[in-house]
Amino acid sequence: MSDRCQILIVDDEPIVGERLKAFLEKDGHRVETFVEPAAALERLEAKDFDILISDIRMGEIDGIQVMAKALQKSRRIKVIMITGYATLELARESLTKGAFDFIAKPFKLKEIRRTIKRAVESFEQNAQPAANRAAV
Amino acid sequence: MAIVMISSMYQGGREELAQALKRKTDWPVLSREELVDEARKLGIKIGRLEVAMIKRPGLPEKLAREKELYLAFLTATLCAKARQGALIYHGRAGHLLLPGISHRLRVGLTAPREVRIKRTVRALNLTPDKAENYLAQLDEDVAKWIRYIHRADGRDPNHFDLFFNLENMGLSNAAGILCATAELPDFQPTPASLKLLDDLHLSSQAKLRLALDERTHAADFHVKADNGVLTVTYPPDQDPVSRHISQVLADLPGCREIQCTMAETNILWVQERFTPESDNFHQIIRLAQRWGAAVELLRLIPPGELQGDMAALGPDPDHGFGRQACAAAWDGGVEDDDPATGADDGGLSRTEEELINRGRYGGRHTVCGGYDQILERVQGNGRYTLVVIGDMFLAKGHSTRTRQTRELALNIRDRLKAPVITADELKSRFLFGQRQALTLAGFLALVILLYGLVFTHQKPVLDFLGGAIHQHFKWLAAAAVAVFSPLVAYIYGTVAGLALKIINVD
Repeated sequence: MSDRCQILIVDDEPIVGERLKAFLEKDGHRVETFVEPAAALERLEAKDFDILISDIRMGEIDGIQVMAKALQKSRRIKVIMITGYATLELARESLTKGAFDFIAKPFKLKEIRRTIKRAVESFEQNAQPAANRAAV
Repeated sequence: MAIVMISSMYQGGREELAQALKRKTDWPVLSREELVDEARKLGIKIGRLEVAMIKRPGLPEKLAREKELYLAFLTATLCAKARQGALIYHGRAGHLLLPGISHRLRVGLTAPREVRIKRTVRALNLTPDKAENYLAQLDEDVAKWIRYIHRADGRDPNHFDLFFNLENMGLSNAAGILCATAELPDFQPTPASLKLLDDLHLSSQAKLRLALDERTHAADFHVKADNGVLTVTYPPDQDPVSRHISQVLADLPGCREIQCTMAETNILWVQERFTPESDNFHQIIRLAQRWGAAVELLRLIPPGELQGDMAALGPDPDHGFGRQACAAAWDGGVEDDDPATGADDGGLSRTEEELINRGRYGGRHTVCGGYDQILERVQGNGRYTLVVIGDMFLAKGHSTRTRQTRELALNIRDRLKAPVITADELKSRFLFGQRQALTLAGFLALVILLYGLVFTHQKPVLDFLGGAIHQHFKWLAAAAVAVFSPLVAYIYGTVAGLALKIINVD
């Protein structure tokens, strides 16, 4: 994939962030990972990201709240929700509240790549990703 | 020992009705959500199943076995609870669970749309417009889910004993009616319904064990229970796994005897590329359902047409649920891609998935070459009831393709000692379609005409056969009988054969 994106990953299981970061950086993306949703929210306030990948069940602050904050700050950010507790109700709730996609765990890495590719395509229809803008 | 199964859409009041009934009866309540949590702990990928309903179609994912596992878990758990005493269950499609148990009370429930919207607004913190949109989409998703999991229309009134509309009726009154209905003799357990409950419990437990045990998880079994006797049927290509069945099921409570049998009725379908939307698939599945047969897929890649990506396919992939992941190091639910991802398997995976979904999967193979390679792969897999040669030699012209397909069929017939037909012959030989209907109508008209003529012109016929005409032309009557008898037999036989096909007798 030629387009590089700024991606923020928040999941309370460190292994998820580690695996996704290693995989997505191979594709040329810039990835930051967090296990604490509060810290992720702070980072979202401080920096523009193209894509947010967030777990849903994470203790005090859940993924839906993280998504709401991220979308409040920027309508162009694409939010991908991931969860091991996926249900139709939760998936529809996420999509209704603005998620770009919803992925149930366990998932294959190709699935994340495919979703990010779709996100990049939708950026191309509107504007360039943040990483490219910064480079310019 | 009432079993009350309550179903409604999201925010349709099922949980409230279950609790209202519990207050009146003190019967224990079990929700779908509780069961789903338990199933997740066992490693059943319910999330994947659920999300597949809202994903774009065509994403190749092996979920048919997961679906069977989910249903087996639900059935086993519900049966176990129901055997202990009364039970109130509420879920999306509770009325479709425990099929055949006559003493379960199947209850449907609906609440006015405005009420559901208000509840959704409160529960999810959405605007009324968004809540309405959310409910509309979710109702569609759930209907799709019920069709996929239960192969039924969730709103079909034939599947309910009682249906409540909460527009003008309070929950307490609905619960009162439920209480009274559950007391009716129609919903009391009978020896037959209790036996069926025990059988369902045993068979679902056995399915679950076989699917979760690493020795047997990769195989497709058909499990039946009758009075404590478990019959496990497996396709011939899974013979090596069968020796573990007894060990896996050995200490299953309630099981008196285990009978393991290899499926005797198998259809081998040889083709170059498979697709579950094709006519061939539909015809073969119709025949398999009629015979109770499993369908074994054999993808034959003719020599010289070996694609570059064939090597990437490697051996046929593991047929299991990916349960091996349980034993591997914890990856947080982020799994590595399969090595064969993206390789063209000629539609085998999709067709396999659909066959599993319909309970007719009997294995799959990919071979490159000709007759020898086919025989090498399938000999020893047991006897085939029928071998169907589908669309082969696709790169060749029509006449070459027809000739080579016929040669392939002849060679397999000679060497496999099994009846072999081409897909074109399948319909005319075994199935009843529009063409057969026209043939039946034509031949039936001929039979009626012949019998009509004979019985309305008895005198000239008798004269011809043994009367005045016969005296003058003795050999003519004998010749006419010699010609007409086989002709009439052929016409009559065709009518009888086609009529038997309508009632699925071959």
